[in-house]
Amino acid sequence: MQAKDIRVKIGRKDILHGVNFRAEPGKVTAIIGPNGSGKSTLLKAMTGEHDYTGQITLNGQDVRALKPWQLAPLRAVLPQAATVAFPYTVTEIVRMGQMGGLSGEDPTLPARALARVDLAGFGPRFYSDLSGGEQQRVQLARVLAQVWEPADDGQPRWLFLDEPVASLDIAHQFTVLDVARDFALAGGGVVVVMHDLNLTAMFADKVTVMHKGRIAASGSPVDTITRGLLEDVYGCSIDVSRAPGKGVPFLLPQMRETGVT
Amino acid sequence: MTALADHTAVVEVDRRDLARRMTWVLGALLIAVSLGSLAVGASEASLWRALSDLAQGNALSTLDRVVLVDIRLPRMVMGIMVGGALALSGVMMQGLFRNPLADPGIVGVSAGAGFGAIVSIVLGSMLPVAVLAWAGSWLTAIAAFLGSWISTLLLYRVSTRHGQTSVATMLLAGIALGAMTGALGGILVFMADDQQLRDLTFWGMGSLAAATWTKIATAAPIMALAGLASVFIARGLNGLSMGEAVAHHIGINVQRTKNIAILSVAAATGAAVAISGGIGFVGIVVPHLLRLSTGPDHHRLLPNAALLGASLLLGADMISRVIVAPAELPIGIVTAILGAPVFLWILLRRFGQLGM
Repeated sequence: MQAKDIRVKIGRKDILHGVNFRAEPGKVTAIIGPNGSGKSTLLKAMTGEHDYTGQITLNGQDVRALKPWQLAPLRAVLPQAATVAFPYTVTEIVRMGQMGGLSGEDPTLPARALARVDLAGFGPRFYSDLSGGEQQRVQLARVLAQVWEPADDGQPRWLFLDEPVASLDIAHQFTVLDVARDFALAGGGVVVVMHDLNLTAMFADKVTVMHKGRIAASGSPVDTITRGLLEDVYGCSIDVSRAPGKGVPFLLPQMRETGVT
Repeated sequence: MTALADHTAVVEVDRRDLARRMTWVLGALLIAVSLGSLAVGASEASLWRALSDLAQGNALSTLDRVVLVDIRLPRMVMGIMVGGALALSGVMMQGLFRNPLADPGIVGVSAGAGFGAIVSIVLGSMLPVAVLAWAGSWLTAIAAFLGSWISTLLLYRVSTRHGQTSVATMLLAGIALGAMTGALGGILVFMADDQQLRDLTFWGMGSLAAATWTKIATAAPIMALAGLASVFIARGLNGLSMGEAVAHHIGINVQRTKNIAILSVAAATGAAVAISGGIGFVGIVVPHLLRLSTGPDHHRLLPNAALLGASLLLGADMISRVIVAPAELPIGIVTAILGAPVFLWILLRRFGQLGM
């Protein structure tokens, strides 16, 4: 999946100034950056929610040339928050994702998708009765039901996740990111907007850093999550450490240096 | 909060099966109510005598023929059409606006049709004689058609930018449009003479009393088209209940779904208002009762709502004919008296659930 020279204007304000972005199947590509840097806008341009100039291709096809029903089996999108207007049950919500994909009518799929996000047995309950974190995971189950097979006929499927762990407890943050990781390991492509730098370093194969509507850096977590990046992009002085063993970068907010330029 | 946790509602069955069975139940109900609507009335005519005459090969008595075939039958058919169209419009409008309390009445489509009708009643006599002769008794109906059509187009223009319809803008524009047509209508009502005022009052309440085969023949194709279109947007309306972005991502052509929904609502509401006046609450009560019993999936909700709407309006019409017989209460009063408390109950229940 590739995005070339993406520019997005919202109102009279330029949000993205010619962004080039690439994500590969089999990898988790994270987009990070401070508030207002344009990471969600970039994701929304790539999923067709914002008008853009430039070109976005998915599996070699220009997404502008694809109809919604041709795109739905190829990529599924998890929004930051989704409200549901009518009293649907959890199973009915997940089934709506299933209908958009190629998984057909398999009646066992909603239950399996729910079990995957640690919500086994929640199917008969009303969506509106669930907590925010549970609703978020129901939405992830819906998205998974849409692209249940990460790769088919050599064609990778794609998951676009916009801050998928924002309202979750720590255990379920891992559940959700494990799902994303497994999807990539099975040959699918994952593009995820993240806030938490430690989780990003743990789960991402590739990190793209956004700053003021431009790409500030791109590469492995080790190469991108650095002290220099934190100072230049976030304006925040913290030393980045390496976890023993795996060498994954991590940072402790307690190590923030104050009063130092 | 503890009460909520103790009574977690669950739905163990597949509500699609439930809704399929509901279709049969509602079909049977409509047949029963239709027969009742033929049998009940102020005159001495008897459906059973007529049926036995038919079975024995006898000719119908004049009374039976006039009352049953020329008066009650077209009235029954029109009741089914109008009730079905109003309920269908309600479901589509609510799906479109993602709001179970939305109704064609709210976005000014009915108000536009009503304004057209008022214009024709008060100012119709100013039209050239040739036009009057051509339109005849149909003047009001034609004007109501035009009113709903123009208001829908206007609404669509105001709320559509760059090919995207903003639901919020459309709702607000609809309220403004309703207020404006209401005010202009008020000026006309002020200008009206006594006879015109009586016409306006009767028309404003809504009635099936003026049912004729000509009206039925004019409205039926429009309503049938809207009904047919609704079949194609059921999945789209389901998707829209999670928002336009999510609907797009699960493969729905959002803009087309909205266009079809808007046109169908305008057509069904315009046709209904044109032949029967402003009959309220059917479009809000019917979809709600069905969502409570068989769930919000639009695939079955749309046809089931049409069936229940038809039964409900026929039932209300029977009440309106019988309760002050031999006179007749405008049906809009009956639906409002039956519907308004249900509407309030829904409102209270809904806000109770949300803890507001």
